[in-house]
Amino acid sequence: MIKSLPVLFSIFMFAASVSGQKAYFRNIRLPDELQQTSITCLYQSDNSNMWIGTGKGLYKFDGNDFVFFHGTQKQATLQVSALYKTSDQILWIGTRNGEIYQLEGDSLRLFNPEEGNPKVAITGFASDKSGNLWFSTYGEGVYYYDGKHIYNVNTDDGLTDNYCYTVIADEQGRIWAATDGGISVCNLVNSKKNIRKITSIEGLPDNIVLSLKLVGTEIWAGMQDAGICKVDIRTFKISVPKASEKWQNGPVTDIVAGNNWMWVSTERYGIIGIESSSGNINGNYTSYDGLNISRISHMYADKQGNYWIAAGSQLLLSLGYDLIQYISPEKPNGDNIHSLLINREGTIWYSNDDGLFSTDKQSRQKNEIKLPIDKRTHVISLYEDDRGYIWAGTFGSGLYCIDPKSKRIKLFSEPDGLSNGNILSISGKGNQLWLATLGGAYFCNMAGDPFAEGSKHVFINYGEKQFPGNNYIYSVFIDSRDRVWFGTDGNGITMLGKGRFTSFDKAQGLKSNVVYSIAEDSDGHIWFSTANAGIYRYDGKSLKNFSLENGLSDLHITGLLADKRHHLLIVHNNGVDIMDTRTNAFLYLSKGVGISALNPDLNVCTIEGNETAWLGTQNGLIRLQIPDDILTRQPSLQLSRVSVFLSKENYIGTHVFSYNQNHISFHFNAFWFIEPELVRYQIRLKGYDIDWIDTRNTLVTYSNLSPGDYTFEVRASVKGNFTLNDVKTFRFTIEKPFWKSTWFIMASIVVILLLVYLIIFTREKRLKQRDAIEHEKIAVKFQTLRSQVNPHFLFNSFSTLITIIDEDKEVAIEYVEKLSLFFRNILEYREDDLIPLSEELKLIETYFYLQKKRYSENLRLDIVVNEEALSSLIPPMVLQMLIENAIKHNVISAEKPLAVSIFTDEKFITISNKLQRKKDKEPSTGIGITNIRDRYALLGFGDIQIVSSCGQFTVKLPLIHFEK
Amino acid sequence: MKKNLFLFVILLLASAGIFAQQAVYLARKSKVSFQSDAPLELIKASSTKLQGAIDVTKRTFAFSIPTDSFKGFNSPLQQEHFYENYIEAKAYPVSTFEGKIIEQVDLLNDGNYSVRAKGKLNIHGVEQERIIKVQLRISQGVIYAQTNFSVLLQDHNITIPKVVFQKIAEEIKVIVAVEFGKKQQ
Repeated sequence: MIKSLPVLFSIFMFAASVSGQKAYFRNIRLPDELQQTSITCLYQSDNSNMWIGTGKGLYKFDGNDFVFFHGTQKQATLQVSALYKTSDQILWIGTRNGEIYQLEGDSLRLFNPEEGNPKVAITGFASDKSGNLWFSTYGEGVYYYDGKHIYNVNTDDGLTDNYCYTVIADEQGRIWAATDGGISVCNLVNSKKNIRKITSIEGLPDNIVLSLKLVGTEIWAGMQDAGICKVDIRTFKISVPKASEKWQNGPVTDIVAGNNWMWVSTERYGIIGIESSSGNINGNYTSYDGLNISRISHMYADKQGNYWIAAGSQLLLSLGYDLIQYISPEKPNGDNIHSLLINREGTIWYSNDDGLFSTDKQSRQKNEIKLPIDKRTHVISLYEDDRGYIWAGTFGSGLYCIDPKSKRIKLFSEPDGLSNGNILSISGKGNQLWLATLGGAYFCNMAGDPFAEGSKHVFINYGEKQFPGNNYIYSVFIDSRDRVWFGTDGNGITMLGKGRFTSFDKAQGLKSNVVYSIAEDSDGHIWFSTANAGIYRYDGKSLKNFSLENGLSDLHITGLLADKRHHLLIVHNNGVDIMDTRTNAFLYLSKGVGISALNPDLNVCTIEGNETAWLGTQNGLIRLQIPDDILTRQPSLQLSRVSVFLSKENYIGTHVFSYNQNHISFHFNAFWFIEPELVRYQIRLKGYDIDWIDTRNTLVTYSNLSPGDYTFEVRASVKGNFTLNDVKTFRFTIEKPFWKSTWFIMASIVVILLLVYLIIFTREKRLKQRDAIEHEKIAVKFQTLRSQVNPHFLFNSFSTLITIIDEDKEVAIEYVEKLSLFFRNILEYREDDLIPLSEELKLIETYFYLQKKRYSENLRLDIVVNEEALSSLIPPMVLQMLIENAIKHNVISAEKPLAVSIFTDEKFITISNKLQRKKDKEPSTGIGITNIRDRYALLGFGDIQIVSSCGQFTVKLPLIHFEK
Repeated sequence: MKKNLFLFVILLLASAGIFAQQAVYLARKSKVSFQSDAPLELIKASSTKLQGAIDVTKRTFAFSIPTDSFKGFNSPLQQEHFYENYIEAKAYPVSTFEGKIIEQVDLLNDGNYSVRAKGKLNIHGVEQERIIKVQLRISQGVIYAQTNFSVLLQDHNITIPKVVFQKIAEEIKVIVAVEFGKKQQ
């Protein structure tokens, strides 16, 4: 039966309060010494440290700690007024007194050009297309530096005014300067200054321009009294947004722009929010959470989607209007949203404890749709069909169809076949309408206008048969291929396709049979969430589970949303995880951006257009711009320092360390300003660690590393899903100590071998020498003995003796005594190497006596020897042999007597005789002279000299002295 | 021509001074020297022929120096080379610098000032805008100015034959000392 259609659509109008929009700010606690100081500028050169310029010096902030930049005593108090990093990685620091400093690495130095520094405050830096560095000053116009010289541009050159507040570069590399007299667009054409003025004559609302911001192809200018305006950088056309008409918010100090919104900071009235498309003001923040943020000097958009706000001595972080919480003015302490829908006209439909409402986007009027239901019965599901009708499912009181145009409503309940009135989810396509209830699923063919007279629509139930055991259905979803998916309470997920119901449950490997939410991504994959086992992806063939270890931050998932840009939004109790479905990278939005303890109802979320997600929570509505740069919005990991024995020196460029530089520390940091405390690290030293080691520290030290090749690896993650994030590596080698190196060992072996060889060689040589001496000695002994037993000598001696015996018996006895003395001496001395000269002289005296008896006066021996020479040494029998030689080889007769003379000088003993050779030579043994020479050579005390000239035969023997 | 024009500017400044209560100071004594620290040869010369004027109320100035007034070269040959090949004194008889002081200093007050003179430096017929840092000492109506700055040969189209290049540095250091006195009525 058709129920009557009373017009129960009553409208309550509320002027939507602007203050209902609430952005979130996080207050960053500054170091104590900065509590009373204003922050003057913020700058982030790459996706890492935030540089903070203050009246009390320069600070570097890594998300956790502030590092003060020490300079000299004078630099310690530098009043920073502008910051900029050029492509050569030099950070330029402008100060209030006109000095400019350069920070390269950790060293701060004064920029000291030949032209001198300005005498007034530096207010901004920018680089033009030729690489010149421009800087603006408060009083001396702008300057540019070409790497060699500094050049000035001021009013004499056509600058609008010498008092400049900032400079920025546009996309063509022209420099825009904000001055007290308007905007000057400067560029250099063939080194000639070219300035275009944009002033009130050109239509600028106010000539005093305090701030500039490039947004797309427009430059927005913040002015002293006239709010903001934009200048097209190609046509120089000036447009003034509605917000600037009747501007009452004083000087504009800075501008940041987001997706269809702008924030304008002011000197007295905090932040003014502006909707870019309409140009209307849509927010104002002068205080936040008890903080006074009415005086804002500077704002800065970092590379991770954060907006930094310098409000006096306070530093705040925000996502701006990319994340807005709608607080209803009448319910400031919580507004539990039970269902949510943005219809095709952009009207927000939602229900809370008080009923069902719609808020028009343009007029911001809030209407209440009064349904004839109990006050405690809530609308818990909403759906817009192709006709534009809104379908509202209640918890226990059936389904209502609402025509927003005619303001009629119609109830569908038991009489229409809808036997269960608890409608948790509504979906549809064309004329199909599907409901998920606590009594199974319902289908209705909606062909024919439900409001038409006499129309009849019957709901068909799919219950126990299709969903056996438990027919609670939490959600219904129709995918792009017209398959209908049901999330059930105990049957997993059920798909209706081609008239057949197919279930995926524990039998197919599902860890949970309770499925809450379903979504389809841009690749046509079906995603669904389970009660406690994370989410699943169905790609048409298989199921893949994603849980905490894959990067989910919370398993209490209350909603899934997919946009058409490969993003899956996973809504849970404590925020939203945004997943890039191509790379499985995550962006987590939770406490750090002000969304926590959301406790949303099931599936109270929706996507508007393609970039905006709406969430209904227990604290009202949240609107979120889905970022398209999730892959860059990741902790930015840097391995900044490598130190040895914790010294100050940075070894990041060194890759080879000596054996005693084996105490190595690595300093790293992942910049993640949203929630730096969530960053976790994993480190591994390949060649030392077997597996990754989890740590929260940003410093790790390895001590006592043994020589070898190593690779240090570090990776960072917000939620422990490390595999997705890039790894920073540092390869290095610790060298072996030199005594363990191959070359040293080789060289040592060679040296040792050489030494051994040398020892053996010299020993061998010495032995040979000794042998030679021995041999020689034996030869001498033999020779001497032989010479002494020379039969001639004996024969001669005995002949002599015979004649003497007859003549004089006494003499004969003496002769025999001398002969025996001579032989005894020979026996005595033959063992010795050397004997004193005196002994040798005694020997030759005996010998001479014996010969004298034979040759009488025909043989003469003259000995002249120094006293000192007597103690010197001489090989035994040498003189005797030489005298014997002389007697042997020469004629001795009365006519030709032979005189042998022996005399010494300092070094030599000389034996000399007149040469008168015998005609018949006595056979020479050839040993005599050679033997003497060899003995001297072996003894090593110098050589003998033999001279045979002028009829004289002379032998000089070196005298041997031993040191005392 | 150029020289005449310049004298005209100076005269103009001077005559303006008549109306502006003796605001123009003229250069009375001067010494301009330059030095080229080349690896092989040091070139050094100086001149005392600088002419110039400062308008202390407008903080404008104009200077001129005959390019052939430099003396004290190492050798007559070096001097000849300098005049004929490099600076081309016949074609470009004067070098000039005219402009304005950037700082808002009161040049009528005694004291020491460090100021920057922004102006157009014309050497070898090529005009370059430059900022030159100057030390001023003002004492009893006399202004003593002292400065040193560098001139890049390339900036002024002064080309040096490759062979001689080693003899002349790419950058010439210039030292200027000038004493200004009030223009005599």
